[in-house]
Amino acid sequence: MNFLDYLQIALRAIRSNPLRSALTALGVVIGVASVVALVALGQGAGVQIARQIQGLGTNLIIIATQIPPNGGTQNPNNLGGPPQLFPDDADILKDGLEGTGAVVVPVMTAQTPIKIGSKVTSANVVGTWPVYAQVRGLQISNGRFLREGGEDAPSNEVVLGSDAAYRLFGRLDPVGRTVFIKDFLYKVVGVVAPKGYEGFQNVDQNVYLTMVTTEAQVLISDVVNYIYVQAPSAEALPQLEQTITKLLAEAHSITDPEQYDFSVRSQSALLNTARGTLNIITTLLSGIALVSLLVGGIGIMNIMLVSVTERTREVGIRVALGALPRDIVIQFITEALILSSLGGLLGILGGIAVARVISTFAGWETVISASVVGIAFFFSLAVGVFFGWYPAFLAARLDPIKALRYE
Amino acid sequence: MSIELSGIHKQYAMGSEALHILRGVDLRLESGEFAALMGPSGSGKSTLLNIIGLLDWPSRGAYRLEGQDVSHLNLVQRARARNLHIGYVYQNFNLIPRLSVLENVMTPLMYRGMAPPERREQAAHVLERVGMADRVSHLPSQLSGGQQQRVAIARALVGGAGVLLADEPTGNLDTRTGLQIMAMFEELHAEGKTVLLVTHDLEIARHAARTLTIRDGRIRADSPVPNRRKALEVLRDLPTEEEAEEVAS
Repeated sequence: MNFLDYLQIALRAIRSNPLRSALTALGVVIGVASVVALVALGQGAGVQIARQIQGLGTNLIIIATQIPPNGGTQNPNNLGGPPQLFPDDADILKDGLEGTGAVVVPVMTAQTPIKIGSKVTSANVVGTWPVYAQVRGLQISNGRFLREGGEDAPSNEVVLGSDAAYRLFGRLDPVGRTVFIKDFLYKVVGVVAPKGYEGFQNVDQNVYLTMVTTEAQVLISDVVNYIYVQAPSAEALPQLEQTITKLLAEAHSITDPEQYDFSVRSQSALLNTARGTLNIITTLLSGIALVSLLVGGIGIMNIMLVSVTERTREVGIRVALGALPRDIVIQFITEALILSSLGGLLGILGGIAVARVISTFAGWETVISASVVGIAFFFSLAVGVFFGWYPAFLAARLDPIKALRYE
Repeated sequence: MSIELSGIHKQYAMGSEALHILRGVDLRLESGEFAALMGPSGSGKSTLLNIIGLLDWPSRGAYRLEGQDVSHLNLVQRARARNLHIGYVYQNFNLIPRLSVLENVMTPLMYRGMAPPERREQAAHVLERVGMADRVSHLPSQLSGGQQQRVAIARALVGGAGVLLADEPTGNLDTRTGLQIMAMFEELHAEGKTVLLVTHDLEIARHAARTLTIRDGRIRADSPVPNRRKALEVLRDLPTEEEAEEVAS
């Protein structure tokens, strides 16, 4: 009795009741498909987030505000108000990090209309220093970025993101043309090549002004949203984070680390946090999907029990003809295994298809990894063996004399 | 193949009471003998047949098959012995409904570990012998009762068993078909197979050379059949269907 014999007997049994077999396998199909699709979505989201965070630039430290536990801030510059970063903070960091090779870039943002003639569009104004282009790795497709040395007085130069440029000028080259932002006239000196989404923001809609210009002519306040510091190397990051924290704590006159009204975080820390959260969500969802795989397994067991009962006489005949208990066990486990592995294979295909459909229609990224496919298939096999074993054991234990008389 | 039973007892526990089915059966069937086992229902016929067929264990007593003690074989050895030496033919044919005629006949050879081409060849050969060569790919449900019984006989013969155990093989068949089946048993007996036929039909029992009567768990009568029926002769004298209809009208 060889493997092909067992396979043939099992296939014959499965084919003799195609609808029932298909419905039984469907339980596993759904379980495996949901595991594969959910993990694909989770891993896709991970890749997407990683790319976005890495898209910020390399070896980046991001300084933002945070609300200290007591709610207020001890910074004498804005005592009583919410925590804020100021242009002065950027200057202090720039001076304090002199000689370390680190590059400091503050960013102010504002949503404001931008117009040319009768055409108006909404732009996300980014007020920053000219080194921004270098730190954030902006590619300039036309013209140039904001000019160095223009940091002290408002300038009339503007650089447009690719989307902003297209909305205002269509296919025309915007360089040398003028736009209005809040009643001020600016000359377009450059266009940034398309970069896409960063978080939930389309950075191609950005419009870049110098920080001084933004402060004086757009925002009419001096609130800095972020300060980026680019480290010269990954190894320099920890030391740099400490120095920055010390400098800012001094600048804000805060001695108790508990009361810091700013946060200093490296890109890799952001990445780890995001990945960690995502892993938890993916694991949780896959766990729920595994439960459905379990339900599929119970379906297999149920049908196998029915199948054993229906074929009691057949088992009796086989035993009378010389089948060993082992032969009977293998026969029924093979049957359960075929159902579950078939369900597993179809489930993997189904899961990949679902992931594809979601990434096509929702625009989410999905990643099908070989390991997940392998694990899903392994699980479906395990379900077959686990839930097929008991019915097979019952079949092998049948008394052939009674089984032969079974009607 | 000779069969030798001595002091065979079989008891079942039925709740608190012990059910004593066989109460000391002594029986010797020489190799190539053709015996009919008769007895009322509940007499222990089937149990005795199952013990001889190695499907059941005696509670006590010794069973020798071709001189070898088989009362103490384990499950696996018994399965092996059944596969090699014993062919069963049942009243309800007991073919596996999902398998074709050929596959049904190949099954014992499969459990023996024979390679598929050999199985096929050997099964086809036996099917030809029982006159079923043109029905090899039919399913049992597509055959008449007589044809199914021929397939069952082919399955019992395919492995070269020395002992044929037939439990009411003609019970579900009409007279003519039953006689055709009995003719096959006669032929097999003539070839040297040991045939044990369980029946309660006296006419059928008369095809055997010897009748054994069992009652209350013991063999009460054991006698040669004086006037053996020959299936082919009876068939020849049997009115054809048309004649039978004429008589009826």
